[in-house]
Amino acid sequence: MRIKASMSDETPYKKLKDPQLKNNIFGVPEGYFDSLKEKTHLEVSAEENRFLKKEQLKKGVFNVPDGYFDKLNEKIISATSITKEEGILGNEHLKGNAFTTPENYFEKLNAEILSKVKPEAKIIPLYQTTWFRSVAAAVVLIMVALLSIPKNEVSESELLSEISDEAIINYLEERQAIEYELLSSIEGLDAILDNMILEETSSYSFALNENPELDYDFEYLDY
Amino acid sequence: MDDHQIIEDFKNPTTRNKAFNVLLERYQQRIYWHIRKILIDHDDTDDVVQEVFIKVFKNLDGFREASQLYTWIYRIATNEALTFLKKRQRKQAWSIDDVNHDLENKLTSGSYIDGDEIQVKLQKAILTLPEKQKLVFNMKYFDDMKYEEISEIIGTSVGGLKANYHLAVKKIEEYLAQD
Repeated sequence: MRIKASMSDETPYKKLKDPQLKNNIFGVPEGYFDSLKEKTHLEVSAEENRFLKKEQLKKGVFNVPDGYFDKLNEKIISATSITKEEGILGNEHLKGNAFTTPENYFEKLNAEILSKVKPEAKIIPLYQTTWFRSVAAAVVLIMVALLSIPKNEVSESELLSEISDEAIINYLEERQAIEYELLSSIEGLDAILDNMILEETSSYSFALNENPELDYDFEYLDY
Repeated sequence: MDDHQIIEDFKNPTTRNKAFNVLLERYQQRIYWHIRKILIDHDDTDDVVQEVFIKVFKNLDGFREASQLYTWIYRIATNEALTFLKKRQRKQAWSIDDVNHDLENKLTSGSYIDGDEIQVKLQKAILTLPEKQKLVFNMKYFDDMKYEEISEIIGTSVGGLKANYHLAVKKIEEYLAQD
């Protein structure tokens, strides 16, 4: 730690050395010091034998953790060096680990992970099986074929023109009411929606299965 | 045994367990501390670190070594830790501020935190950073990783990472200079 040189002999303020300046400009009432002496003497003698004199009371009531003062210096130095030129980058103390683990944690961790992975047989999800994919492809093909067959029936607008506007409005309103009733009667709808969202956010596990090298974007890394 | 050998041995059923044991020995602590700095709490970290290695076990068969083994594991760990936070946020209907507040509470009153005042203050400063800056700072400052490696893990260009790191350092120094 750098020690600054004493400045008392080198003060540039020479005027302060003028002895006249040292003369006292303040006064006190006459006989003040005599009475003060008596007053304090009385007070002291009265207090002399009281508990404040007892040695054990002079011991502080405050305590510090073991080795506190040994560490204090180090702490102050490390704290002050942060704001100086080198900043946090050169501060080795800061790089120290602030966290700990329970005793023997890492020894137990190995065993725990191994117990969880060993008995498990590799489960292939349904959507990854060949037969499932073939069936799915066939279903898609049939649907496409069905949809592409031209319809010979009358067009939708022609059909609708035969129904009165009022009937259509009534029908739509009724349907809306039913939907609303249905939704509000489902208990814990919020919880169901939350679960759906959760499952979607867990889709990374699917990505992991499909592509073990995780070539997907991090959706949660935002600025 | 180098990482390539671990992967080879893992693919062989007779040496699989031994290879996985070596992998665990080699990486469990690094991955634990990486996750711990994101989640702060020991028990949360314990859950996630186990999840990470179970995922590694299940997917190592298909690992094509396009990246290094340990950057791959780090990538899974980062993703799992962030997903864990996101899930908790959704479950509790928290804002991002609530999440940070919870992490700060764990830092000041949680168990297994041993740092002195200035070290804890540094962790608090890190909590104020945006996600990506937080990750880059932890990996560069505490783990001395190369930008190229971090880039493989969190998928950002080296230039972007450097910018993020310098921003993080600046913000943390400002935070620490406050009383």
